Amino acid sequence: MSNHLSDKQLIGYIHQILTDAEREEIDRHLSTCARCRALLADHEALQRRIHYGLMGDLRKARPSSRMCFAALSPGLRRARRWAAVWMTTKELSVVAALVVMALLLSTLITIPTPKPIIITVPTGMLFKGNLQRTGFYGTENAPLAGELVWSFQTGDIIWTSPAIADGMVYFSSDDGYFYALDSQTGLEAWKLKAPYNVSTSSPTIVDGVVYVGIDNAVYALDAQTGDEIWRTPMVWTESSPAVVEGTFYVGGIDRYFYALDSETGEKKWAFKTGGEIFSSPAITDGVIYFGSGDGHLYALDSQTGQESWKFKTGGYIASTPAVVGGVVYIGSNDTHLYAVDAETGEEMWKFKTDAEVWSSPAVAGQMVYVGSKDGYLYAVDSRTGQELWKFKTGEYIKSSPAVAGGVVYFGSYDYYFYALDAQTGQEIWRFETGGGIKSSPVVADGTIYFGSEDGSLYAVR
Amino acid sequence: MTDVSALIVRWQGGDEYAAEALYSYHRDRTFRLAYGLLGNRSDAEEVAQDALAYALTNIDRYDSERGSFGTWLHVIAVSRCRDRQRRQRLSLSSLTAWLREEDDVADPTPNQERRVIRAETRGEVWEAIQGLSPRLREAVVLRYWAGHTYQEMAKIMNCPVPTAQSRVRLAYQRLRAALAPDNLAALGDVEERTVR
Repeated sequence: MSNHLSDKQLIGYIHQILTDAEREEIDRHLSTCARCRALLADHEALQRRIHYGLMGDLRKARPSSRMCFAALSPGLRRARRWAAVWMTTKELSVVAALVVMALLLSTLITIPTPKPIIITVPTGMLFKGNLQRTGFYGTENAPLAGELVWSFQTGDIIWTSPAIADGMVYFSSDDGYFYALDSQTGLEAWKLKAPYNVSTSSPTIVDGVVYVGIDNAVYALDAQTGDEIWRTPMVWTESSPAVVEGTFYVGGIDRYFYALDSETGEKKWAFKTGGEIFSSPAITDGVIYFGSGDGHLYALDSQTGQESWKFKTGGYIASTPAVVGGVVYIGSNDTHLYAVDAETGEEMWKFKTDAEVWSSPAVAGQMVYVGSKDGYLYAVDSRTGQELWKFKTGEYIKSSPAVAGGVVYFGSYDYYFYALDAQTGQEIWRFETGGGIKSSPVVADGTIYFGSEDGSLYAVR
Repeated sequence: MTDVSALIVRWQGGDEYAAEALYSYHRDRTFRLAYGLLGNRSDAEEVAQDALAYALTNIDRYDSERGSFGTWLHVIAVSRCRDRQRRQRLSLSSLTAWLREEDDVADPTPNQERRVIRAETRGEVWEAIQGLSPRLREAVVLRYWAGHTYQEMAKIMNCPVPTAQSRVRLAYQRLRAALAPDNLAALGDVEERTVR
């Protein structure tokens, strides 16, 4: 089958993104196909135009005379002197730090331990479908045909995951808008212009209010009209919020995990971690679980923000934990999927993939599903961590799977969206989009919704 | 040819002439990187100066095992540019709140600044690059102008290597849509008939 080269292949080729094997295959095709050689030449011409255009523009740009060494040398000298002083007093500062820590500890001990609260779980209107972030959407209404219902084109990449409530689908695009569409027809109900680009936070809808991080603020919006109820300025949030019993939880890229009053947006408490928080909180039985860029999975008391335990993985965590049956499942950039005891924070098992695990696991029955940047979707036994099956896609998987009615759904950077038999891993259908798929799917009423880097939001049945 | 590593060792030992030489060697390049990312001269100058000051002050933290001094400097400069962009957005959003403007307030760039950018505009390519989202702009500038490898880009942009690659690919696709829309239509036609 000697078909023509795709746009994606050609673009990968001129940017040296391909593997040797892919490159050789393309070379072979090019040697026999004048048409693709002409297309390649067009790409190369444009690439040169961008390269030389930018080089030329920046070569001409020079800073003013204000930007000179003399302007910073006094500060530099001062800083170096302080550095020298600091080195000699390092031992002293260690002693001081110990004293401060002892004082802090003594104050902590006097705080009474709060009673755990039992949380009632709202239905699936947030990233990964529920507060436990399992990605499990029940046993019925699985989209089985792989047919397009509608698609909605925005002006830029869609990296966020949509959320659905009361017949509306909500999501952000990098074109700077937060959209609300009719979930049946894909027609726009309202949209909100963000001051700049929209972050990758996915919305949560509770009792007619949409909560979402947009740019450098978190918003509570009227779900029907888009009217702002409150807005709290914050650092950028890539984490997707959770709202429980009057409290709004979200992680920030400033390394803090925040709890706000969901009625007013006022800050209740903040908890500092050692890294950026991309992971979204999973909440059950009064405990919040989330991962941080410092490589730890944290468990905090949902009322006070006090740390119950933390669990160290060997790499950055961008994955969101799923909590089911007293076990927390989470992926790490150290290439592993972990199962951790929700009560104690002890490792139960870990499962190794061949690349970073950015995707967040989905749990259904006794199976855990997770994607890896090695391009595979894995199904693992939730009790033992043993591999049950794996499915190869053409590129890495960052999208987090959703499971409904015995089917597991996810997207890959190979531009395809997949539906596999959850038991066997056999492909049921695949749906091609015009870009990589990082957005995680959400299922409602027999339809699955997801975004693509081609800028479209898709509803597929 | 300046021997950067020798200069670094000398400055680590306290030789201020070496610091000045390092500064002069990287001054224009750091400024250009920031200008490419921010699109505004005075911001770029401030950020570049700040990045150089940080690098020289914290020269003991530089680890040659982990990459060249130039790459390290770019890590710092890109992170400073991001800080700057975030701060601008923050002050802007509080301003719009204060003005209580409704609906479509939010063209991110106030008119005056727009005009300044226009005045500084060089060509179509420049305009198209400035129209990209910040992350894609980083990808283009680091790849097309600075000539970094994808591994270096991943370090500088603080992201995985495939992300750096897909950002370059996406940025290119967007630039193509802006710069060669006719070409794109023709290609789309071909694409449609291609069975994969």
